Amino acid sequence: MLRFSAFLLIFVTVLVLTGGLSWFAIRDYRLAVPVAQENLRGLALTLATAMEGVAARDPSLKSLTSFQTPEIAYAALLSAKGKILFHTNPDLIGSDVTDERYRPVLTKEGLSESRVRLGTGEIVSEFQTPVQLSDQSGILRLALHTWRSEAIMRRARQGMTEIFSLLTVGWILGLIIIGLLRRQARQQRQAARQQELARLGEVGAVLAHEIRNPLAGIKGYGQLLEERLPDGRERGFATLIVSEAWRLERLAHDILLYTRSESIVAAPCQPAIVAAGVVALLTPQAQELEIRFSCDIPDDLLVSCPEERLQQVLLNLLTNGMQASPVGGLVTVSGRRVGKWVELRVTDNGPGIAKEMQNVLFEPFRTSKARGAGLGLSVCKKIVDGCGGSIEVKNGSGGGAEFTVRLPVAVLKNGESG
Amino acid sequence: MQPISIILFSLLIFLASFPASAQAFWGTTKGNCTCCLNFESGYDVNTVTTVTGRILSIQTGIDHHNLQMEIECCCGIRMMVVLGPQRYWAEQGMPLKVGDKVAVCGSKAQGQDGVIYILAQKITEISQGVVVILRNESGHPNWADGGGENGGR
Repeated sequence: MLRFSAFLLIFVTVLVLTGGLSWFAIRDYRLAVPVAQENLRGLALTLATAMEGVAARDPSLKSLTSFQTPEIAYAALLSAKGKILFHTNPDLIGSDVTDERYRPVLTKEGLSESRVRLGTGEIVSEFQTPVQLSDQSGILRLALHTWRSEAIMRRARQGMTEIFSLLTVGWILGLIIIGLLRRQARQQRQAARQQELARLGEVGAVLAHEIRNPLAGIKGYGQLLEERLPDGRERGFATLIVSEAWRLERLAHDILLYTRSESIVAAPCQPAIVAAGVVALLTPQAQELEIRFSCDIPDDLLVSCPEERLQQVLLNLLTNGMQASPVGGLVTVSGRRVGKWVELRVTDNGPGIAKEMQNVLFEPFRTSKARGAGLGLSVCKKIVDGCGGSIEVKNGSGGGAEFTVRLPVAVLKNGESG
Repeated sequence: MQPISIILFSLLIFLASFPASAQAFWGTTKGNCTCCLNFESGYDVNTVTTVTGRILSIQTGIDHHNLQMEIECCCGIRMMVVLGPQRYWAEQGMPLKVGDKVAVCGSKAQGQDGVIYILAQKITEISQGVVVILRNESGHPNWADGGGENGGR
């Protein structure tokens, strides 16, 4: 919980920082646009005022040729009828202007501004203002290059680009680091599990050699006593010895199975046949407990898992279901195909599994039962994982436990899938 | 994929898209053009001017199609004179060389790379008086007619 809170705090902080920097970059850029426009407008106003003054004093308008700044694309002085009185291209003086853009200016006061695309493809800011000449009124038209005034916009745009690029790189690096940390944590968990299995393996070996053999002797002599002793208290003790020896033998078997490090060789098998066999095996025991089995797996389903392993999985799950169910209970096993997977579901109508147990149920030596080593489900998980599948548990809608085993569909040699 | 991964990945895409969108946010650049001028057929009589300077270099333009020459005018101002398609000059032969002093009459424009371009209409090589006409008075280029009938030296 503490770890999650720390992660959330860091994530929110980084998100706020990203949002703040983004906002700053966009705001800076947006503010640059009106500043650039004002710069250009100020220049146009200065030039227009100076040119109007010169034009009013010099009726020949020749003095206007002295106005040369790098920002001027062209300048023209038009009569009210559209005749060009002055132009930076002297060849055009005396001709009529070919557009009608000057007309609205006659009825307006002050500087009017528009963006115009010239024949060269360049977009310029065109400023027009009515002017009073020595003998008539006219219109001053100034077309200004925008490149210099837009320098502030370019800087802001570059700044915005840099900020967003840095943020992107930062996020990419952050994601890579998160990925690496998660992988490291996963590897640490795997290493710890391997160590745990290795320790269990040692215990298993000891059990195999040091316990199983004498246990076989105990069980054999117990059975001998059970046969020879007359009915009575002593024979009951002998029966108890045999049943406890059986239990110990199963425990040793489970530990060996769980700790054995062998790879599972995938082989196709029919879960319908395996489940039917397991049900038949458990039926005498179930009848004693008045438990019923229901098996509903289509015959044509084929899974990629060795038959004896799937049998072990179903045996453990059905035994669990049987032990959890009340008298008169029902344990069901069903199967269906979901894409490339076969889903086998084992349900019972017992009390279900407590929420806190669900997360650790498949870990070894975790059990809620009074009798049992807590290895059955661990063995199931090991087998299913080995077959490339998955196993999970939840409580069914009826309240009992619901185990879902997903195994890959077997692909036959002729390419068909079961 | 976990929901948190999807959120982070979406955020990443969002951030990564900003530098690109910022480039075209106000429409000051269009597409991937560097100067955004119409070199081949563009011309505007309003901006016609005559400049004099020395040729610094003659090269293929950034569009790898038009020939350009850089000239240095008085006061050290440099301009790029657009001479038209390479194929036109390959047919006509190039009468100009680096170091020549020339007077260029043409339509002036400033590209979005900040460079001043002159879309040449007439070039006069001053020392020998060679005149090269690339367009008519209204800016119609000679190469648009498929040859150099209107041009001359």
